[in-house]
Amino acid sequence: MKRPIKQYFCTIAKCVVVIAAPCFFTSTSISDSVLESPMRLNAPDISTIDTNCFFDTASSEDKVHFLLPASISLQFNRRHHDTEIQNELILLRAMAASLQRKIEFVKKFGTMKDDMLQRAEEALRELRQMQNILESEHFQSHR
Amino acid sequence: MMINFSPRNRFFLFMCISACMPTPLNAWQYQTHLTAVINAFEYMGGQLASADQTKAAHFLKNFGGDDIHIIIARKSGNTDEFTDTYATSWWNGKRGNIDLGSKRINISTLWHFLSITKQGCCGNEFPGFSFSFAPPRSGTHYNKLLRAFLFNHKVENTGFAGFGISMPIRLIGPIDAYRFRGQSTAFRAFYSITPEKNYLQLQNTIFEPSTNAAAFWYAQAIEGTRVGMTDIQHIGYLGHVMHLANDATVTHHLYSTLDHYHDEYEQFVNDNLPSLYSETKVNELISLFYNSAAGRKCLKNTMIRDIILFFARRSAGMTAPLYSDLFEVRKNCGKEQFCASVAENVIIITKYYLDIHCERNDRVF
Repeated sequence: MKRPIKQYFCTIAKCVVVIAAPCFFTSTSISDSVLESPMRLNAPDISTIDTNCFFDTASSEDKVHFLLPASISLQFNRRHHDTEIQNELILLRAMAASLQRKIEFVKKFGTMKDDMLQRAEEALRELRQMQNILESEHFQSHR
Repeated sequence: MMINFSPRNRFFLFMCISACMPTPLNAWQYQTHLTAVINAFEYMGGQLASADQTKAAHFLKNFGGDDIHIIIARKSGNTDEFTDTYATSWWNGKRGNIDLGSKRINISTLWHFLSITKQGCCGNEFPGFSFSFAPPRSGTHYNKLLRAFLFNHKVENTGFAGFGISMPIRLIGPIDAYRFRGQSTAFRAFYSITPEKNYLQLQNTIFEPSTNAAAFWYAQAIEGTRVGMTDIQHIGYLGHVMHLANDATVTHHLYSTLDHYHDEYEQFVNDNLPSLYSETKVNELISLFYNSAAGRKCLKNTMIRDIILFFARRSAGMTAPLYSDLFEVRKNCGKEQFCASVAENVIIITKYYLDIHCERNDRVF
């Protein structure tokens, strides 16, 4: 009884190691490059802003735009979340595939109202669009 | 068939399950909300508190017992666990939580936003959460992902506001409940007139602002009470008011974004609470409120919305946490915003004490 369960867990452990190892190495190398990135130095030192004065003088929109250059550092820091993008892509592809199957099934056998079907098709287009955005980001971070 | 796991296998199984569990995306985290309430009570029992604030704390302890601050604090922390709002579609069914990779988003928490830089509509001075309000260059994609996942879903109004944690006096769905904006007398209440079609396509939905939800829960806390009399159930609802007010001190909740270091910033504040809290800072913020246009009125005549907006306006000026992960930025803004949360809690408790001692008709909130 015990032997097959042990074998079963060993197989799962091997799968986890095989899947997790490349992710681990990818994320480490990317976060290292972030620390060395010269772009980080270009970000303004926000800690020196006199916040009290800033509250009073700038409009809310201005405040956001004033701090936009700092987002460059954010974009670079965020490269380490490439593994997250991969996870999200897997999730998106799965959802889009499932929705597509449901739409096809309904088209073939269902008596769904047109507007209900249209809603689902629009949702599928949105999922595909998001998938494209993430895929292009994923591609760029590996160039 | 019984499966016997050896200790090593049990450990391995536990590690596998823990690694797969998504972390919830909250506002201030549970511990932060809890500590903000406990610190408020400590402040009210300290040297810097005014006579009204000390009396208010004593009053609540008389009616709720010595551990009333813990009860309110838990209610405040648990507000993120409401399961009163769902997104529905024929292809996905009814969904209360959406897992976006490693993050879990509870649809009910989308009522916890106040887009203070946008123009409100349908009677609201400011709108709440909307996917279209998020600032650019977010770094992560939680807003866009959530939008894509919930595209053409409908917001479901079944059940009642607070489901899962609290059972309010008025059992109505969140869409109707959070239309409530406040009241100036028992016969004069204000509601937004947001149309039903707003909730038919979630990607275009503009949620009611958190000020409305806070006013609703304050109404529940005070409804059914008599002059000078209340009970634990009513006092507990104050926790939800405090939660919603405290969320409106977080920059990310004022800019409708689930990205822009939202989670990391709140985690930072949660991890550094003792060093961020300062009694003198809380005292300074309370004084600033009392010297402002909203606070110059007697607290009895100040609306819950005005208390929240005063502190929200200050936090809206602190946009740095949206775009920076620097320690100094998080420390400075975190201190300001966490102390603002404590100050808000002190003011809300004091207002409750003053309102309880008013005739029902004279209560303004």
